[in-house]
Formats: sequence, C-alpha cells, structure tokens
Amino acid sequence: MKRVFGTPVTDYMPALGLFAITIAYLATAYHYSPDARAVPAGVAWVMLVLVSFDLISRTRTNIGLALMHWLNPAGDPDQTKDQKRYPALKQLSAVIWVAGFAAALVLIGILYAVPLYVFSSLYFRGRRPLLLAIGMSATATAMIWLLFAVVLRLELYPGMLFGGA
Amino acid sequence: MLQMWLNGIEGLLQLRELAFLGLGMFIGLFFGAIPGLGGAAALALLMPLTYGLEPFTALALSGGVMGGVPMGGSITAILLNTPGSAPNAATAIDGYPMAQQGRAGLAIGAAASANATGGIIGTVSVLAILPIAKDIVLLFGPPEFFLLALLGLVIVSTTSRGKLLRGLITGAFGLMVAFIGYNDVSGGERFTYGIEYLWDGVHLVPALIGLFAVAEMINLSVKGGSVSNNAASVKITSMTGGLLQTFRHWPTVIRGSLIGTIVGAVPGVGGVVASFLSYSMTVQAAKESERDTFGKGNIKGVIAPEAAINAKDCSALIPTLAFGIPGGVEMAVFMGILIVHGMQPGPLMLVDHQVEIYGLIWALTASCVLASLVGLLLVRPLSRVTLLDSQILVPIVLCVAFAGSYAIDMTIENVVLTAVFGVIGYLMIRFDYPRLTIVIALVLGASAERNFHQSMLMSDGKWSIYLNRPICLVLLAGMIALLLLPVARAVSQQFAGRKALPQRGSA
Amino acid sequence: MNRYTRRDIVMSAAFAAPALIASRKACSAAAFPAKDIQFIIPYAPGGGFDVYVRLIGPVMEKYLPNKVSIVPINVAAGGGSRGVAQLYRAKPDGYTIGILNIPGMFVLQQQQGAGAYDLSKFSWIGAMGEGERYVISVGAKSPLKTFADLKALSAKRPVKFSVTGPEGTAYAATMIGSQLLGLRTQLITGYKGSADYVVAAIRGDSDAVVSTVPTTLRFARSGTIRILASFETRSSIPGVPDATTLGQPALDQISVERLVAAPPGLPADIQGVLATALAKALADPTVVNWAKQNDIVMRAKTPQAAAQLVAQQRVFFDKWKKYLAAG
Repeated sequence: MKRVFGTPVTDYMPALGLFAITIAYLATAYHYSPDARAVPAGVAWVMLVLVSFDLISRTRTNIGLALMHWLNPAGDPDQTKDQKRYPALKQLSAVIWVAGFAAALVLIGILYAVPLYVFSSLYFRGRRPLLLAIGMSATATAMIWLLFAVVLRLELYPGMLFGGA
Repeated sequence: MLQMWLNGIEGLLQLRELAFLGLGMFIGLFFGAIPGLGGAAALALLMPLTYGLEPFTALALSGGVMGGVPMGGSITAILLNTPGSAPNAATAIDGYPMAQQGRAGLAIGAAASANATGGIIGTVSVLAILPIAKDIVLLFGPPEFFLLALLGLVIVSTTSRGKLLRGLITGAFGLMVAFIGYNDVSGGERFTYGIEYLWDGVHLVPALIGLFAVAEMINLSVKGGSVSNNAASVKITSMTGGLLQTFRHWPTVIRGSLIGTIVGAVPGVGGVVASFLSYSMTVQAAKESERDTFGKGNIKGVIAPEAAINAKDCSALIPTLAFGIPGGVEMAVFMGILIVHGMQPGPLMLVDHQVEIYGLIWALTASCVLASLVGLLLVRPLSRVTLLDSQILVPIVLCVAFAGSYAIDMTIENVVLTAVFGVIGYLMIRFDYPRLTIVIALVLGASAERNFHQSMLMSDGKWSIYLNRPICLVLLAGMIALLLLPVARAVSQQFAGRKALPQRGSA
Repeated sequence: MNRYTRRDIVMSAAFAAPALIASRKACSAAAFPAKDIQFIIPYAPGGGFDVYVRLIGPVMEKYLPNKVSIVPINVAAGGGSRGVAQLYRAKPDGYTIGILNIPGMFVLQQQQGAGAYDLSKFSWIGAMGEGERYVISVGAKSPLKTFADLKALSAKRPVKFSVTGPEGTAYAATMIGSQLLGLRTQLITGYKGSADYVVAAIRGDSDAVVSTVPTTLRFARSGTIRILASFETRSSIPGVPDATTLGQPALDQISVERLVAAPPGLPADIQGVLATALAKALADPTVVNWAKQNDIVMRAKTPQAAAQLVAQQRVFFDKWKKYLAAG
C-alpha cells in the first residue's frame, strides 16, 4: 500500500471525495445570480477549508497530527489502530443488496419486490431454512399490504415496468 | 382561569372522549415508531373518522395521537438508531449505545418516564403562560429564527465529542444539501440538475430514514450478530429500572422540560433545537469525569432530550392555535382538523374556544403519560429486539423503512433518496463522520438561509439588526458561551499538563 | 355538521373494500359512478385546499347517482405541479378528479416552465366556492391608519410587504396590486404559509401585507390587524376603499380560485353528473353553515363559467408576466 506523508493512500479517500463534491457544488453555484448563490457559495468555501484541514490531519506530519489531536481527537492514530476493519467485499455486498432492493421496488413495485427481497435475503444470503424464508416473506408482504393498502387506503406503487408514473 | 382548567378536564372525563383518546394514543405510538409515518400520517388517516365527531371528541383523538407519537419515535431511536422524527435523533446518541450494551430496556424505561414527566411539566408551564403566550410568539421574527438555527448548528457541532472537525464537515455538507431545490427568497431552482423531484429540496424524512435506518441496517449486516451481543444483560431487564433512574436524575428532567417548553414554542425549528439543546446543556452541566461517557451510553443522555421532546409538544400548539402557523407537518394536518370542525386558528381561538383548548392540552398530557406506561409495559419484549439476528432483523426493518419512505407522500423517488442516503450514511459510519450534524443542518439549513435573507430585507442590509433586538442578544450570548466553553476548558487542561500530543513515530 | 354514525363508517368501509378489489376490473361508463372516485389534492394534508376537499368531498358523495366514496389523495410535490400533472395524465373516465389553484398554477408554471400539463385543456367541473379577493392591511400597532397614509409613505420610501415565495399567489397579488395602485414596494419574500406572512406584518417585520379576505378577517376581528383597502369591486368590509373607489377595477381580477377539474377529454355526460353533484354539495346546509362561519362565499360555477374564468386569468397573467419573472 503506497503511503503519502505516512498514511496509506486509501485513507485519504473520504476527504478527497468530499473535496471533489464541494468543487463541483461551487462550480454550479457560480452559475446562479449573486443573491441566490451568496449563502450556498459561502458555505461551500468554508467546507473547502474544513476539508483541507481534514486532508492535512490525515497525514502523519507534525502539523497533521496536531490538527487531528486538537480538532478531532477521536481520529488520533492510537485510537483508530484498534478499530475493527471489515473486508471490502462484505461491505460492498451489503450495499448491493440494499441498492438492489431499492431498484426492485422502483422497477417491479412494492407488492412484488418485498417478498422477493425478503425471501432471497433469508434463503440465499442468510441460508435459513426454506420454510422460514417463505413464512417471513409472506408475513412481511401481508403486513405491508394490510397497513398501506387496506388501512391507509394508499395505492402501493406498481413499479415502473408495470405502468407506474 | 382555574375554572377553565377544570372545565377542560371535565369535558375529557367522558367515556367516549377517553375511548378516542386511547385509540389515538395507540395509533400515535404505532405510527411514531415506523420511520416515515409519524403524527402527520396518523392524523391524516384519522381525519375522515373525525367528521362525525363532536369538536371536543375530535380534539381528544388528536391529542391522543400527538401524545403517543414521541414515545413511538423514542423506541425505534433506541433500538435501531433510527429516529422516528428529527428530535428523536438526540435520543439515539446515547440510547443506541445503551441498546448495544444490552441495556435497551433501561433506556426505554428511562425514555418513557422522562416522556411522562416532561409532558406534565411542559403542560403546567404552558398553562401558566398561556395568557401571554401570544405575545411571546410575536417576539420571534426572522432575526430570532436565524440566530436560533445558528445556535442549533453550533450546539450540535459541540456535541460531537472528539469529532469537532468532522462534525463541522458533515454539518457543512448537510447545509449544502439543504440548499438544493427552489429558493423561496429570490426564486429559481438551485442544484437540482433538472430533476423535478428535487424542486421541493431534499425531502427530509426519507433522507433521515436512509441516514439512520438503512445505514444502520447495512452496518448490521456487515457486522453480523445482533444489535446487542450482551444477551445476559438483556435478559435481566426490569420494567422499573428506567423509571427509577429518571427520578434519580431529576435535575436533568427539569432542565430538559424547561428547555423544551421554551424553545419548543418556536415554529419549525423548535423541536429539534429543543432536544439537542437539552442534551448539550446536560453534557455541559455534568462533571468533568462524566463528560466523556456521553455518546457511549450515559442514561442522562436519553433522559434529557426525551423530557424536552414531550415538553415541547404542548408549547408547539401555541403558534399553531394562536396564529395558524403550524410548527411542523403534524401541526399542519391538525390545523386542517380544527378548521373542518369550525375552529379557526387565530388570535380569537384562544378566546372563543378556551374550554376546547384546555381539553386538548389535558388530552395530550394524558396520552403522553399513557403512552409512557405502555412503553414501560413493553420494555421487556422490546429489548428482545436487540437480540434478533441481523439476518432476520435487517430485511424486516428495510421493508418497513422503504415502505414508510414511499408512504409519506406516495412518491417512489423517496425510496431512491432513502437508498442514496443509506449509502451515504453507511460511508459516514465506516469513515467515522458523525451523522448528527447532518440532521440539524438538513432541518435548519433552508430555514436559516431564508430567515437570514428576510432579516437583511427587513433591515435594509444592516447587520446591526441582530444587536438591536433583545432576544437576539440573548441568543448571541448563548452561542458565544457554548463555543468558548470547550475551548476554555481545553486550554485550562493543557495548562494543567493533562493533555499531550501524540508523537510522529507512534502507530 | 352531518353526523356519520359508526354504521355509516362501517358501511363505507364495506363498500370500499370490494370496490378496491373491483377497481382492478374494467367498468362501463354507463353506470357512472361504479367505483370510488379519486380526488387529487396537489398539496399536503391540512392546508387550505385540503380542508375544502375533505369537507366537501363527503357531502358530494350524497349527490352522486350511486353510492361510492370520494377518496382524497394528497400528491404534494413540486409545489403542486406533480399533483396537477398526475391529474392531467389520468384516464378521463370520471374516476380521477382534482382541485386546482388558479392562478396559482399559472404562477407556478412561470417559475418552473411549462411542465407536463396544459391548463387550458382540462375538463372543468366547477368550483369550490367563489374566488377569494385580496385586501391590503397593516399591523394594529402600525402608524399607518388609512390607505392615503400608505400612499404617502410610498412617496418617501419603498413600502415593505411580506409575501410568500415567488411561486406563490401572494407574491403575484402583491406585485400586481402595488403596480396598479402606484405603490413603490420592496418585498420581503420567503414566508411559508398564508398565516405566517400575515403575522409578519402584525409583528412589524414588514409595513403592510396583501392577503385574502378570509385569512385577514380572522386577524381583523381580534383587532390585531387593520385593513386599509380592498381589491374587491365593492368592498365587503365596511369603511374601507375598494377597487372602484381607488380607480383600479382590474384589482378585482386578482383572485384565488378553487377550481375542480378532470383530465382532458372527459365525456360530457360524466362531466354533467360530477358538476351537478358538486353544485348541489355547495348548496348543502352543512357546507353553507361552515362557509358562513369562515367568511367564505360558497357560490358554485358551471363548467363553462370555470373554463371562461381560466381563459380570463391566463390573459391577465400573461399581461403581468414580466413583473413576476424570477429575481
């Protein structure tokens, strides 16, 4: 792992990401009238300063360590070295399951996505017994249907593929 | 005036009114617990039901709902780190760590009793100042609202123990997100990149659901296990544990209730600022040695905001009833119920419908106490939730979260927003950036900017307007004090030789 | 107020449940209405328009040929444009109707762009009451006592008016009204909600405020606000100059109308059924009493009158478009 100023490159990612977002935000802001951009641009400039501090504080230089210690002691290297690290694949997989569920909700609608997700989550990912998976997904769907469609009389989204707006 | 108080209670003590109060309470409890629903959805659901009812009965029902919602919100905040509504986010700061340590029952019990006590103290205070309440509301204008929002932002930044820099960063990020959408002051859309859904800005509740419920579930499915791995502690949960703790820490309760009553009356920002201010003041008032335990499961960190939240419920009625200015979405729906029943909110309401208003306030208080009792009774089964395995808990919570997010206003884009903020929230957990400051920034950001612009328009661009008004001066002083206090303490610690910088070679 | 017994509620639910299931099957237009009718409200629950629909909807049910429910649905996004777009796109079979804020939607379109709907193409059913007109008021503590005082102030410096955002009708009303009356103004924009910006004047944030008659009367009765002039042709408030007296009859055209509409292409017979039901509902004693209590004039409009009104308002607002462009 390449180290820059004593810290692995990947440790700079959050701050770099924020920096990029703020720059894009500022660029957009300057397209608006002075009145409209006054406060957002001001906040964005302050953000740039803060994120720069964040970047510097992540280095292992004297300035960096001092910044981290005074402004963000919870991020001190001796505090964070004991933190548990999780495998990247596991984290990515968790995120994808959630994103997939959201996508399913949008595409095929609530009434189909819910049982599909609950079942796959329990059976394929969780490796629970088939009966439990079916039972839970049926219960979850029934409860949602009861609460929203019957009690609240709200139309459950039918899904983009099936004619939803 | 005492006669009016008694008339109000008398009107309530009929079987039918009490039945509706109970019904409203249970519905409020349930809706408060599900992220995305909340008081507004409950009241909107019940509106048709109120048509055939006498005005007093309709008020009993509404009061019931409004009293039950906070307790429901506390439960999910503690068990799943998911605030039922924005003010509950303060409850989760210490409530969730307590749940993780196996002390969920204690936390819920404390929240329940703080709810009830805060509600009662809030009621008494409001009833006392009701005659002059109108004039108090009129003292708050755009300059005061702006400084109050700023105060809220400062408070929360100072609350993120040990993460001031990252807290400020997320706060600024939250502000940047808050500015997305149509700008009410100068017209024109900002930062929407052509997406029609973002015209009204980033919808708050779906974003909160994503940041907390979804992010927490992603985190849980990565970590595995359950919310709490301390089964032994959960199994010995007692119903009265939390109750006793609340009475032991009575200064915290009183402090929280008073803050809730006063600050909660401010429409829009009141609830969130009240609960966070209460939390922050409790931290500041604690002994030096105790201060580091906040954020890691200190029960006072649950009692303080909970007392404030329920105290505020009563005072939030004041601007709604006296002027027709709703304190939030829930109040807006409530106003609709009032109008349909022929009670127009406005200065005359406090004069013409005194008995009904007192009845409403008593209904709210009674419901609040009842909801707390229900919460206490459910302490044991609820704490078991923390022992559920993540494989089962995660899909269920996610279903409810996404369905709730959709149900707010039947917009499927809410689900996408929730998912996006879920990922953002998870990244914040993983990279150790506090999420609380985002909550405050999102809630207060847009109104802060708007009130700033309005103040400038009022004063023709002169900044001195903030120094010419008494309440503004008080708020400014409070802000400066809050900012300087930690710095002063750190400096005095440095002189006492207790803090030392880590050297370059370590780790 | 009509009393709904528990039996009625259960009966409605019992009808609604199979209706909800039956709504999946096709229905013939001859037996209109054969299932529940959706009433789209393009705003959040609790607001002014929402209250009207929730109050009048159940009364309208009584005057429909068959017993079905009118289900209010809030579609609050985009400042109202999403609900309107949804109504526009719905099937013109009479089972989806909605309430529209005219000229609110014109003003909104000016801010947002033409959007997904053409307001002139809607099938109009009628209106929920006569349109509301505006008045100019000041806080009770204000040194201004008459409209002449206001004009005198305007000669010295721009008068500060509190308004909602540029996408709202209050903003438009204030801009147009002050132009017609020759007042120099500075708008303090951004207040949220009809009560909020009126309270701003009471509080002293602004010098004066332009608000609708019902909203203002609420405050005027308790003595917290003083009405200086009315935009009506004939003032409904005693002792106050009106548009005729002030020599600006065009002020009367600035109004907030609550029009009920259906998607374009609604068959005439179904339109007739709905229009009749609406008109009868407005004459129902429940509604009449409530309206009287709240200073609202509950006069019905025929579909033709509604369509004509929309066309008039469009012409009026096109004329004033340049004053309302985004800052």
